[in-house]
Amino acid sequence: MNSIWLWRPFGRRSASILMAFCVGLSSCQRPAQDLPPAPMFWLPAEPLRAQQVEPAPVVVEPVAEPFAGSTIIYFDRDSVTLDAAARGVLDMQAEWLLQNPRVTATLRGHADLLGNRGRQFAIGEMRAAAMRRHLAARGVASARIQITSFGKEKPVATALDQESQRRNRRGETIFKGVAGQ
Amino acid sequence: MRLNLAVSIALLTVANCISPAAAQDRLFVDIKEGVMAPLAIGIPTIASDIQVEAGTGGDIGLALASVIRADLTTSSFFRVVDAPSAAVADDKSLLSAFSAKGAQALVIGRPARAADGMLVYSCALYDVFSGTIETAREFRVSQRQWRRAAHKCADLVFAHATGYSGHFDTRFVLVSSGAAAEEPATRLIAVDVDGANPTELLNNGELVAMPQFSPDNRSALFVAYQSDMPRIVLFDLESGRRTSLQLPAGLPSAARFSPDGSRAVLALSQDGNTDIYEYEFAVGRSQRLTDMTGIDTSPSYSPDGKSIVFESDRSGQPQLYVMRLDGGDQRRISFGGVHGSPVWSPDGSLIAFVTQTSEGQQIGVMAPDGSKRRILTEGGHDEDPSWAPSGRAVSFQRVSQNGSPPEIWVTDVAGRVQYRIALPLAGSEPHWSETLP
Repeated sequence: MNSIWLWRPFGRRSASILMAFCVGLSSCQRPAQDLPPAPMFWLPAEPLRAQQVEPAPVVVEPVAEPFAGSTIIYFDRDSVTLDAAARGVLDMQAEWLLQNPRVTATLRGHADLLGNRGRQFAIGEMRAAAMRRHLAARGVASARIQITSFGKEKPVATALDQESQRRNRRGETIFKGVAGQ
Repeated sequence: MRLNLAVSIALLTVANCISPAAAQDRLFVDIKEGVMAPLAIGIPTIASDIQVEAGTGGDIGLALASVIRADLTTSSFFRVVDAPSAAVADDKSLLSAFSAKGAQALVIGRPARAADGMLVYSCALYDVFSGTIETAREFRVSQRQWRRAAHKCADLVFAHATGYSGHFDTRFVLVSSGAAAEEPATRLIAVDVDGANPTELLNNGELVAMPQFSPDNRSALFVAYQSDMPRIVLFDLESGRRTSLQLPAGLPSAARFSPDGSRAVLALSQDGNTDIYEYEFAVGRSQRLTDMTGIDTSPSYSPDGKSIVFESDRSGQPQLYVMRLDGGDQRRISFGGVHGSPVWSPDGSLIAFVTQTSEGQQIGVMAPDGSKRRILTEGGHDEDPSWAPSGRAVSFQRVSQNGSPPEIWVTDVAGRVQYRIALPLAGSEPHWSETLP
């Protein structure tokens, strides 16, 4: 008989010990185990720590006319290449940053939901890095630009159709500081 | 030699324990020529005089049995036999009644209240044919943690009948928005293996991602965003203390503990290039392990701590690679299509992964040399595999085409049984804990 018996080799031994232990007793003494409370089970319901509150950064909305509705650029699937539309938006941002030297920019790279989590995080970083390289090539000092990636953790659309996912493959520019010379 | 049922019942009436001369046959999950015959198991609901919670009227004996039944139902190793209609309570009548229903094994659990108020759950696995107790144990647990007694009993049965350690007295760590799927996840949540006992571990308004319990279950490691910037945070679950890993410049992600918990392996992205680093907690130092152009990410240790599997697009499409702990001997193990998010199984024999096809994303497994590749799921868009400590199941996240909140699913390693874990709130990115002590 072609039979594989899947059982613990020592199972019989422990059962035999148990049985030997039981002989002559009116009821079985069973090995007992205390289950200590597990820390990840019973944490207090109240907040665990006083929250560290960061002073809210002064966010300057891109009030200058050229920026209305143009702080987001989009990418092709699995691509970090800046297309003509994206380069146009970044050119305007570079020009505005050069006119407003006290403003710094955070570039946020995002990815769609169609790839693995780790890879999408890396692609978000590559997108933000490509945006920074473009701004730097237009003369914006790298020290004024911070890049970050949200990978697939902050989608604007969660349906898996192509149009929804196109909207997730994006680069956002956030300006901080005080506009003017 | 197998004792017949009448004889064994006669023995049972003498005492609640069994002569060593009883059956030489024993309970096992039988696999013949690759076809598994699940063990037919009965789990009678035995009433007690103890309530689940004072005043609710729910009987804890019935509740415990239903937890065990739900646990074993999720495994293809077992076929849970319906309870006989007649309410019987003594072991002898139970054996007889379940034998008539075709049960090969019986789990009899009896709760009692100890003098100190603790719940004592006596759990015994019977061979129905011989009438012998195969294994038995008492679990003492605080009333508040009563479900753990049932999970421990299910683990005892699972381990005895299959030879694999169980995975029922475990938890998942998840991230959750607590709201619609479009909201970013700012909560770290833990739930039992069956979705019960949701606990909020952290909710301080920061976006959190890629969570994992430490091997000793005492801390968690995850990505948290502060002022737009991601950090890897080590979170001590007992003290509530949070520590950000001090890493070289760049954006860190995908951190995973080493099997002994002393180190972590992670990905660090710097100016368009992502490489694997190892971080040592005691000294707060990191070492770079890969230096190829492109994306090397999603690293996972082998259980012996000597190798790392990771995902890389160095040859074009993302594929799986294995390397030594010092970064040496990097070799590709997956070919064709797209492979990513590898996770090494607890016994080292398999690597779970996500593969992408024109139909979507599926969870699969392969041996560490790339052989024996099998796809386990066909849900359309499955990702984030995580091994059960038993090595017999993999949890994952399933997303639907319409964008409704992600669901948490489990598949057995044969791809035979799949089920959704009912959660009281939206959760994603599940990671399966080790079995609790």
